[in-house]
Amino acid sequence: MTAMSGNTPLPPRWIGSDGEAIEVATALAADFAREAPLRDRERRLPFAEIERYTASGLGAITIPADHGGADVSFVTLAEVFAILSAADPALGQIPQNQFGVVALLRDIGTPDQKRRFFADVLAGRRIGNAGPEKGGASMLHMKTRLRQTPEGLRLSGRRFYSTGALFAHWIPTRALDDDGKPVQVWVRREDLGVEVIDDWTSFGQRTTASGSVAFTDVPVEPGNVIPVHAFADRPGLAGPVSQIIQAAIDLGIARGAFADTLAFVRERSRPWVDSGVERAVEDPTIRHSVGALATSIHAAEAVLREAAGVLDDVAAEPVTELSSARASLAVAEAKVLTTEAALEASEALFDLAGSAATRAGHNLDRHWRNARVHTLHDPVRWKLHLLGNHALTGALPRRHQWN
Amino acid sequence: MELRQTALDTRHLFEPPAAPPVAPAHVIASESEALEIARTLAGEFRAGASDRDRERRLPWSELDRFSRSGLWGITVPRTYGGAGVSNAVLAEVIATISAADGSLGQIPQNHFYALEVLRVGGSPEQQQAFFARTLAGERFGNALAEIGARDFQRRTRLLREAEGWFLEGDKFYCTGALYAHWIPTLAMAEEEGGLVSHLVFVPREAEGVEVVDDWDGFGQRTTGSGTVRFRRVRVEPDWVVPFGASFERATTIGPVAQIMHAAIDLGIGREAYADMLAFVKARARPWIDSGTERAVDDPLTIREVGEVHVRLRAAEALLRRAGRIVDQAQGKMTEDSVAEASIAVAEARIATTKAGLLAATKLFELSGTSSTLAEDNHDRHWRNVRTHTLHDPVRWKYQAVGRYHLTGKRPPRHGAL
Repeated sequence: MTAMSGNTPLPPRWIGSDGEAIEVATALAADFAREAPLRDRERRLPFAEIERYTASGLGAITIPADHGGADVSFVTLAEVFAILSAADPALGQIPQNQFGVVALLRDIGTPDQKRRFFADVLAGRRIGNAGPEKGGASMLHMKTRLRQTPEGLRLSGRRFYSTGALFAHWIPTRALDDDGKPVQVWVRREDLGVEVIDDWTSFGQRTTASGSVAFTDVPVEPGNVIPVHAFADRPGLAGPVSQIIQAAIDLGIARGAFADTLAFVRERSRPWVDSGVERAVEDPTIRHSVGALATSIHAAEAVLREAAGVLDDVAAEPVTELSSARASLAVAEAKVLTTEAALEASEALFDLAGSAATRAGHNLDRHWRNARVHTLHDPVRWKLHLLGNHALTGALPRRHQWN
Repeated sequence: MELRQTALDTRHLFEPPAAPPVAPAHVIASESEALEIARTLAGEFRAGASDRDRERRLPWSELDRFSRSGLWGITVPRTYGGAGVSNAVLAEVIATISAADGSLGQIPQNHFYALEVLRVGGSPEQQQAFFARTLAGERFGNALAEIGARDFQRRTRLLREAEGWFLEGDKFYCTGALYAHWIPTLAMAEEEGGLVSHLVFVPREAEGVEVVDDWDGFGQRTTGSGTVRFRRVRVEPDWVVPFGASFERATTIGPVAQIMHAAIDLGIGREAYADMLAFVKARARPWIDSGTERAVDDPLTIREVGEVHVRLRAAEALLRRAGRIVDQAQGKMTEDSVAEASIAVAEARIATTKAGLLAATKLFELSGTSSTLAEDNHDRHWRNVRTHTLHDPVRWKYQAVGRYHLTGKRPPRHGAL
């Protein structure tokens, strides 16, 4: 286990505008793209790349302006995620929880928490998470506890799906307090009793290291507890912000697969014997399929962009029940389309490129493996359900971290 | 997660040939016996399938068991002592084995293909000799495809020289060759009027035959579908079956080859569906918005299960329908009967391709993220069906089917239709 968090980070570049964020992401993506197939194949965790990401300043672009951040729009944030995920979606996904948590702090953090944690992010410290528990009967089942003891607060439990924890300085996690109420607890990666376990063995998003974190009587400072239960009824944007990032990652995967499809068909595929053409690019059936893919990806992209615009509008005013629902509905539409586009593009790649594209040297199956695994973050069938329910009855989506 | 290493370290090692059968294979007498044996074998093969895929462990002992069972002889015509099973039964046997292990289901595909070439175009002596060997338990592989050029010209040559006949060339995608006793090899010979194609049945242990275990596709990993090289391999005229003739006239070689490909994909799809049902029942958690206690009660999951089920059923029924139409075409081979068979099989392949891929991806959508962990190796179904469905492009099946129904134009005659 590499003790990353012990390092004092170098001050990252300060990104001052939306345009600069896109420029920095584009340059970084070109760098990350080169070894992405190798990292996936060898499951080589991207410690060095994550350091470059942090140094680029992209991790802090949503910090509010009055705390010294660029406070970029959600349109920009989504595009930054898509750009990086097209190059390497595991790298793209690793910072997702940092942005989710920053959004939560904006909504419900105390002034002191905002001051300290936003300053930490600007200084190059990373926030991971300790995700849902494995093996319980339901998603919300929780054994992780924050207990008041004579020595102070203590955190105990074991979480899974902890994307980013291995690379993080701070690990926020959900727990139940002594009254059985949900709280968010922040501990440091190097705190005594925190063990990050690299046991993520999924066939996709392999280098996200989304495995276990075990907490054993970890001392917790009272100021590092966010009483999320107190805000359960308050409309916010935590769910939509998390979802727009998920959708942007899937859009990135679709773009990456599509680009590889075009390159393979242009450079390597042979024309099918019945096509009567000299080059695969002249095959009318390939052209038709490429057209269908391009349309599906562009539609996903356009709806995602509009959904991000809705989030920007909603965030500009105090969030209400209705405006929060509007944001959830908008990102649900994007999520449906980006899911479809990522799965279609990564599977059709082979239909168009042919058997030769299945050879190990290309490692092109990583696109489908990544798309398949990442789109399972939450079930897209329930996004269609909430959209249908709203259209039919006007019902607002349930408010939780996945809507 | 050791399953996707880069190049195989055996790349430059030639594999030793299969041992000859130690005892004659069982001879299967009826269709029902064939189906029963297939189900029994599938039960045995299923247990180790995931480990074989994960470790890319070649299924030598399973294949010996498979050969001894007599299943590799079921299409030998009754007049030659075989069961002469219908194409629907052949397809069901292949689907049953493919469900248990997609690679094991595909390995005999070219064997049955070779038997059909012999049945259609072999001399009575060749039929007698090779059908007898088949019933005794010998296996045929294949060396048809070539890579390295962006066309479909075959560059492997059959050279007829004064001191004998020789084979020279390199092949790839040689499924089954690694495990075979004979390698039916497509080669071109200079004859009056130009190049003519032949299928040469080359003994696996012949001098100059090099089989390389270099198949590194991400799916169907243990099919051994890699390289075979022929370095001035001496062949006997008795081993040469004229092949150009097989496609100059309408024959059922293409439809028989294709119906087995469809069966492989159906089998893989069925297994993915079965694994999905088991996971959703025993291990999936209900989604928080569903308001249900168990994942099996999620109405949207129920809907998707119905969808996958009906696509697989449709594919299965199209496959059986195609089997009947291919039977008729074999009984009376005409331009029209063969065209009808090709189209029926192409329709089945469209359906099995879509249903197989659908089942393999919905497995995860309905089971959730915890079904993607390495211990289950559930992704092998998608890797297998994705790789195998690329055998020839399904988009050109739509062309053949659409054109036939629009204009009545018969499909092109080759092994992929």
